Amino acid sequence: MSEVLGEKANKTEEGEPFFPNHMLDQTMMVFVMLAILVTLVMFFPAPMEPPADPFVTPEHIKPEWYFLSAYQALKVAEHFSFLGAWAPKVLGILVQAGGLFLLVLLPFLDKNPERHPRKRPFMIAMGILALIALAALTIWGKLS
Amino acid sequence: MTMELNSEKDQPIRRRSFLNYFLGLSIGTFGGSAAYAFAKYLFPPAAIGAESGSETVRVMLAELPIGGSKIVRYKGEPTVVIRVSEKQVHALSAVCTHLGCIVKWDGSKRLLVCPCHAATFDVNGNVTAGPAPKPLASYHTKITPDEVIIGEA
Amino acid sequence: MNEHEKGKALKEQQPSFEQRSGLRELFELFSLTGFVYGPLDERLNIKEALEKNLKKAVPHHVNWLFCFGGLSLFLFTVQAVTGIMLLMYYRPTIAEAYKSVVYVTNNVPFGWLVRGLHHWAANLMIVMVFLHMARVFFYGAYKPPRDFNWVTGVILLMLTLGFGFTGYLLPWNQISYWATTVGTEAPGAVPVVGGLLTTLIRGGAEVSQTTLTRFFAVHVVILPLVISFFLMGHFFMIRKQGISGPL
Repeated sequence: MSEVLGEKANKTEEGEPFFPNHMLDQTMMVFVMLAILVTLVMFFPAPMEPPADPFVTPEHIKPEWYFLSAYQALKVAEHFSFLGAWAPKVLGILVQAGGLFLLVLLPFLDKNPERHPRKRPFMIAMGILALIALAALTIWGKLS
Repeated sequence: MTMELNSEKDQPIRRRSFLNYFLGLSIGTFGGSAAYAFAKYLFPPAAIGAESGSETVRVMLAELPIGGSKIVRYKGEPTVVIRVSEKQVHALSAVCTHLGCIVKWDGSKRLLVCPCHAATFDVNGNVTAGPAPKPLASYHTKITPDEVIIGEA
Repeated sequence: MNEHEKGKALKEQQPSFEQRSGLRELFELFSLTGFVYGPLDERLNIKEALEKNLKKAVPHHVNWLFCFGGLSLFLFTVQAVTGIMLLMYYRPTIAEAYKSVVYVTNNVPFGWLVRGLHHWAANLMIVMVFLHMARVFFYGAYKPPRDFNWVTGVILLMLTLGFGFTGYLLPWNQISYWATTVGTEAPGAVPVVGGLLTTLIRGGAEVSQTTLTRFFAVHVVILPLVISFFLMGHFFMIRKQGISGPL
C-alpha cells in the first residue's frame, strides 16, 4: 500500500505547481462562475411570492427543482396502493432512503479496482441509469 | 506476566473492573438522562393546541351564504365549515389526509378538492377520489338563529 | 543537529533583536506580514508551511472537469458572506419574516443584489456539487484510498440539500410554507417513528412559528457548524491522499 502511495507521490511531482499556475486556472473558472451568477441575479431577480396563508393552499405547489425527483418518486409510489393504504408513502420513502444509503456505501460495494470507465461497464451503466432516472423524474415532476 | 494474568483470572470481581463498571454505569445514567431531557426538550407541549383556546368556535351565519364555505381554526387545525342548505352545516378538518394541504369547497360539484394531488371528499369527509388514505375528521355543528357553533351537538 | 544549524543560519540572516527597530516589528505585526516575514515567522514557521503547500505539484492530467469541487467551495463562501449580510435584517417570526424579506429586497441599498446572490448561488452550488460528484464517479476517484472522502462528500451533498430545504421556508411565503408542509409530511411515512419525526421537524402538529424558529436555527447555526467540520475533513483527506491519478 505504502509503495503504491509513494509511486503516486512521485508522479505528482511532475505536475505544475499549485501556486501560481493552477491557482490562475482556478481563478479563471471562479470568474466564469461569478459572471454566470451576476447575469442570473441581474436578469432573473429572486422571486417574491405572496405571504404565507395557512388557510389557503395555492394550486400547483412544487418543491425546488432539486427536490422534484424525490417529490415525483413519491407520486409514482401511489401506484403501489394495491398493496394496501400504507404502501405508497412507506415504499416511496424507504426506497429513497435506501438509494441514499447505497450512495454512501458505493466505494465499499464496488470492489472492482479498475478506474477506467471502459473497464468497469457495470458500475458505469448503473451510474448512467441512475442519472437518467433522476433527470426523467425531475422533468416529469416539472411537467406534471 | 503470566503469573499476573492468572491471578487476575482467579478473582471473580477485581477492584478495577468493579470501578470500570461503576464508571460506565454512572456515565450511562448521566448520559441517558441528559439525552432523555434533550429529546423531550425538542417536543414543545401542545404548541398548537394552546393557541386555539376554547373548545367551540362560533361562525356568524351572515358570513356563510348557502352553498358557501369558510375556513376557521378549530382544535388548532384549519377547519372548513360548509353550509349546504338553510339549516344544514358541515364542519370538517380542512387538512388533506394525504400530504397536509388545505382542501377547497367546490360548490358546483358539492365536493371538497385538495389542490395538491386532486384528492376529493364528500360533505361527510369520505374519500371519493384521489390518493388520500383516510377520510377527513368530521365535527358536530349546531345552528342557532344567527350563528353556527362548531364542536357542540 | 541539523535543526540547530538551520536556526543558526536563520539568526545570521535576520537582524538580531537589538538591531530591529520597534516600529518595523509593529508594522509587521499589524500588517500581518509578520506571519510570513519577520519575528512572528521565526516562532511559527508559517512561511515554510505555506511554501510547502503552495508549491505542491498538480498533476498534468487535471483538466477543467476537476474544477467543480473548487467552484462549490467558492459558491459556499458566497453563501456564507451573503447569508451573514441577510442576517443583519432578517427577522425570524411568522409576523415579520415576510416583511423583512420585502424590506431587504426593496428598501435596503443593494438588498436585491445580496438576496439575489444568495438565491442563485444556492441553486448553482447544488448544480456544482452534483457535477463534482458525477466527475468523481465517472473517473472512479471514489475507490480506495479515497473511499472515506466519498463518504464525507455524500454527507456534504446531504448537508447542502438540508441548507436548501431549511432556507426555503425562511421567507415565509405561500410556496415556501406549502412546500415545507408537504416536504415535512414525507418523513411521516417512515414506519414506527414517522409521526414522531414529522413532529420533531415541525416542532408541533403543523408548520408554525416553532417550525420557522427551528429551521432558522438549523439554517444559520447548526448546518454551518456541521458543514465546516465535514468540509475540513474533505479537504484534509484530499490533501493527504492527493488528486486521483490519470485513468
